[in-house]
Amino acid sequence: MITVLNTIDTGHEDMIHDAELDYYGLRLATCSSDNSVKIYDIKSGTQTLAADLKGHFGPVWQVAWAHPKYGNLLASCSYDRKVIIWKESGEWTKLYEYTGHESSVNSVAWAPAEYGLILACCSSDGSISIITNVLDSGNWDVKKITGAHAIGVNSISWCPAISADLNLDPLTNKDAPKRIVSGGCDNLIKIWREQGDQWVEENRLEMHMDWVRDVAWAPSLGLQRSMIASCSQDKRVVIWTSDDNVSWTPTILNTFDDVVWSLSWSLTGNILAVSGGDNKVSLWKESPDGQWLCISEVAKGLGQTPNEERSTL
Amino acid sequence: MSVHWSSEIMKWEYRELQATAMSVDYSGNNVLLAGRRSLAIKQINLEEDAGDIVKKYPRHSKYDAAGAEWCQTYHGQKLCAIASNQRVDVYEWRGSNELTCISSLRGHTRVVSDTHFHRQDHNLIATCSIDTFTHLWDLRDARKPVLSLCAVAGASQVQWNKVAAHIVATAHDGDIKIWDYRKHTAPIQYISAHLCKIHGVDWSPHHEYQLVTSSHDGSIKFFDINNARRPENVIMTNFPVWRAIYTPFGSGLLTIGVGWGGLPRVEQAGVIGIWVNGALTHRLVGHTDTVQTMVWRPNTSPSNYQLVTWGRDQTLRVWSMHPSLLKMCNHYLPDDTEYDEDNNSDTVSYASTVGSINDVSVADKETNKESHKATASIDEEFESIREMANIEVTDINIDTRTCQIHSERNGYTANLQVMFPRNVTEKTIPKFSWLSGTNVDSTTTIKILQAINRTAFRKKKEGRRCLLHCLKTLATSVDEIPVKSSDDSDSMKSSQRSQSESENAGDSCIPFPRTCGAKWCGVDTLVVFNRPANARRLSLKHEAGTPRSMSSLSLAPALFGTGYSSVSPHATTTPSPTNAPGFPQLHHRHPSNSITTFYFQDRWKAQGRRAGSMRSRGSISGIGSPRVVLYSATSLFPLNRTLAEKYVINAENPVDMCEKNAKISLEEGESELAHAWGLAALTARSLRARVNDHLASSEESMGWVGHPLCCSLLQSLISNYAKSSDLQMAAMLACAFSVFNDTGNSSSQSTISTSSCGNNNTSPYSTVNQYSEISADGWTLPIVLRSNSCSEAENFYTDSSVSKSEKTSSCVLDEVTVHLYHCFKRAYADILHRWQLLYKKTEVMKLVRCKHEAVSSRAPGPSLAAECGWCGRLAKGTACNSCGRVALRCAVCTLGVRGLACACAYCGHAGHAHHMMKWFSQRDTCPTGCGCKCLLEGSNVWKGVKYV
Repeated sequence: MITVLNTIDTGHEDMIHDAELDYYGLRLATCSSDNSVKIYDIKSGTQTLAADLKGHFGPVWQVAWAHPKYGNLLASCSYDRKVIIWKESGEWTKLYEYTGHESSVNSVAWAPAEYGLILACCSSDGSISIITNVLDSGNWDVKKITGAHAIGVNSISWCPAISADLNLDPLTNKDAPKRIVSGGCDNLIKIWREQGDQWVEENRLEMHMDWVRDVAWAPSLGLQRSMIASCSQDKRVVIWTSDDNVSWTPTILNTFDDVVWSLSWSLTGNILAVSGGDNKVSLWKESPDGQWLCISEVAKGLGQTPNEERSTL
Repeated sequence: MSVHWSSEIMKWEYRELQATAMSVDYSGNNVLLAGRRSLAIKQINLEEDAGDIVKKYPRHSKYDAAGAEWCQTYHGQKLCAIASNQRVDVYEWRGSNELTCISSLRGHTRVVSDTHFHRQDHNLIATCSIDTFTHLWDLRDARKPVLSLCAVAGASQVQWNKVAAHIVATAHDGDIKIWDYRKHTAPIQYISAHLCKIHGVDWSPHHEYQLVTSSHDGSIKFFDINNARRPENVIMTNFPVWRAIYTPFGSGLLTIGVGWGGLPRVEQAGVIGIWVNGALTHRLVGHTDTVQTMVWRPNTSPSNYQLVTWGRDQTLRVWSMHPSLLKMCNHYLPDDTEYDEDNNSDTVSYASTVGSINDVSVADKETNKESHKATASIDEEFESIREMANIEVTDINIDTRTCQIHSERNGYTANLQVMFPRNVTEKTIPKFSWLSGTNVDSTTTIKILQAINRTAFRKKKEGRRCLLHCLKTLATSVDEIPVKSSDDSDSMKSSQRSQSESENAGDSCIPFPRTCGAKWCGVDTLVVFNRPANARRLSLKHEAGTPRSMSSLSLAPALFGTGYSSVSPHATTTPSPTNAPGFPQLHHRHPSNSITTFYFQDRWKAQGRRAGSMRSRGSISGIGSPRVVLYSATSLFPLNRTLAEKYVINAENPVDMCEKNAKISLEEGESELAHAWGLAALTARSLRARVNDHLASSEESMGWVGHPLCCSLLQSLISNYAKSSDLQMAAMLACAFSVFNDTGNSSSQSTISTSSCGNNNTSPYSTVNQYSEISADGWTLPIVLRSNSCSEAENFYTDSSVSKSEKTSSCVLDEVTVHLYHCFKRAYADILHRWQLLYKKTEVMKLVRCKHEAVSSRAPGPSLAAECGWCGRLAKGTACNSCGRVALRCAVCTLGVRGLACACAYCGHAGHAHHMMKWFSQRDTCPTGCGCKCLLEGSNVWKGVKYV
């Protein structure tokens, strides 16, 4: 059911911490403890190194591609407290470097393209920064939520722009309320909403008993229901659902054997990929009756997958 | 932001002593507590259980002890000084546990505020008083001071330099005076440091020329006494700072506040702050009241620094320093085996080799023996460095066991003092400190120092001489400092600062790095990276499961061997790309072997041994570079790219669209979808039939046509597909019946919009309808017909409220559903975009109707308006409103332009497209002769325009 498309030998000299394909699925960006970010062109089973970006002075934690309507932009964040936005125009160069954090920057996420070119990043200094590209001047405007989470913010995710709000123009959704969900070392998940030119805490979700490692807002098809997945050091993954973005109901997806590190929703928002400290990846899907089932067993069972695959799924 | 720590390892409470002063002796095992009624000596011993071994000596004085101090030299380790009122009593603690006063220093005329034994000569003690004098006494003849340093203001602190033997600092209100006692008539340096009283002065343990002051004004200032006009650095706090002391390791600073002043809560009164690089990173919490004294416990091993504090809450506490803090302060950690041994022997045994205090004779004998050996080894050490290139030995003194080194490279001067401590153990490394004249910035000096210490440690462990190797390390380290050049010195500074910042982040707050992950990318690709199957996690004794924060890496001893490079991003010397070329390409210290080694410790160890150092890049090479695997999960999603490509989108003819798509899906083997499309086609046909039937006024065919199932069938089809995440099908069906949505949408808005829809009609059926209102609301007609007669239709439409309520009950979709369908289409368009099916995407997006489109104007884009070529007024459209002629005049033929025109965006001159083309194919300036280089300027103008 799941087949290997491509195996990329990244050539990184140390462990990698994140990998992401661009919007079209043609380019792969990886980042590693060797302080570099690499970009590969992926074409039918082959790979070519397109760029080796050096500019960070510490392990690079995460990379994120912007929507291609803004050009080929890649954001990376690192232990060296910096966020770098790289741009390809002929070759890859630094477009902007953000140094407003006082500790490791743990996560970066581009806002839905409808809102404009906006990047959110969060750091172990406990704050979240929202960096907006001002259309007219090309400058970057920074808003900071200080003290978002005590000790540190580990992860951040944007609420999708497609919204069930009727008063919004479905073509652009420009005016949909901007929301961000963040998870931190205070074991909390917080939802932030932009109000005027400020970000206010709209909600805080308490369930986890240890550091929240990742949060992921599920893509929306326009249905009323919003979903957020969160995972934590406490080895649990929790799915939060809400019909009004105000009251959230938690469901424990599963308790894993080891710490859960990352979550990812599929584009249509119905399959969740979970990975953690045990080096395993599993896929989860909600059955019609609201139960969450692990479907990666199914994927493995078909035996179409090479050995490599088995170790992971 | 700071982390609260309660890392105290021991705590005792002595309410009865009423002690006001505390001091720890040279061995680090005995604590002197001085109160008004008694003196007490307490042994602090980690191994024996906390039994109170306190010896009390009654004291008869009506004054509190203002200060108590042990002499910190080997020979003077039995001496202690107690200051009370105007007098300083020097006691000797004899072997038989007697505390005898051997001399009383009387010379001050006011209260003595501080005393300080000389750091090398145990006979020399400095005392200061608010009578403005600072006296130096020789204990062998204590009748009067040997020297008096005179100031105008009273002195509150006296501190001997930790490196240079002859320098002493005194604090007078807000000023600092630096004295060289060999030239005692005037201070060698006078620093106006603070506006308020200075509570504490501390010399840097690593630099001869640096000190830190803490003041009542809440600031902490760092000074370089050779350049004291301006502090090197200032930390502003929000409380009066009682003491600020350097950490003996790296570049940290500890502070305590005065009273509760400025502190928000009473509980914070006893908090000790730990600052690293100007930021409060940790707090030691435990004392319930102000901390009066804090001192570093002498003779602890370098991996186990301890702080001893006495607070007003009458408790004595011993704190250990967390390894992550040591790392944060750039402190080297001994490598793994060293670490283990130290763990076994622990501080106490370490300290006990200093000589058990209680039998001096034995200790003396032993040390004599040892010192013979040691002297020999020192000779060897000194001998070994005589002939070193690039390094000049300026002074060697076997007696004080010190030597001074001068080195100049790349414009940097490094002056280093090496002091071999009086033999403590074979493994004790010499103490290195920087002397005046060094022009390397302090952050770098700390780093170099740690590199040297590391080397020393390694060599000592191997039982070899270390000095030569240390100096080699010094030389290479100095070489690695980027060359200073005047123009980029600023950028240098900033880059160095950022580097140092990045290295000192509090790892305990940073989540443990992910080494495995999966991300959905594109439409249906799963990107997976993880550790190779042969990776095994380093087991940490104290933690089950994967650790939480990066500081855990530092707790794994094996990780920080010879390298210590740790997980901190060692940009120590990696040049930033912005730096000038010609920078020495420096070694890349591998930034985070730790995370690799965390999982590949065996391999790493083996490799480390082979290579002799862990600097070798690519410690991971043996493992193979990490891989990313892309999985295609097409079958998990009901999204089919081939279908998307082939599907016909033709909202104008739903029947045709549905039928064609049914055929296409059948060809692709999706019989289920084909079936659905068949149903949809049926619905579409019946819906169309209704209109036609109406027009033909054939009432008899209404039976099936008006069947309510038609509509709800469609809706349930779409919602069913949406629920099962078949976005493709849901969106395509929504597309097929878009016409439907439009009408429902516009008609339910208001009657005004229905009329406006007349011009705007997108409905393919408008031509066959007689009424413009009806044309816009094509699908609603049957209801009208069913409920009313045809003639009443017009009346019906005059009352919009009625029409609304009627419509929602039937075939016309309500606003919510329409909106939802638009969302489906948008989401599907996004998928098509990702598949790079741009035309298909556009076709779908065309069907997402913007509700406000009719009302609000189009998105503002660049538009052109002609200025009439005859009368000069602004014309809208082709003809000028005022003069009536064709507004645009061709720049080439000077005739009016009716057809296609080209204009230069810069000078604004325009002309017939074909004229302009011809003109500019040969020339690049404007045909009017305005001098504008249209081809160049024109395109420049457009560059700035953003297309929405």
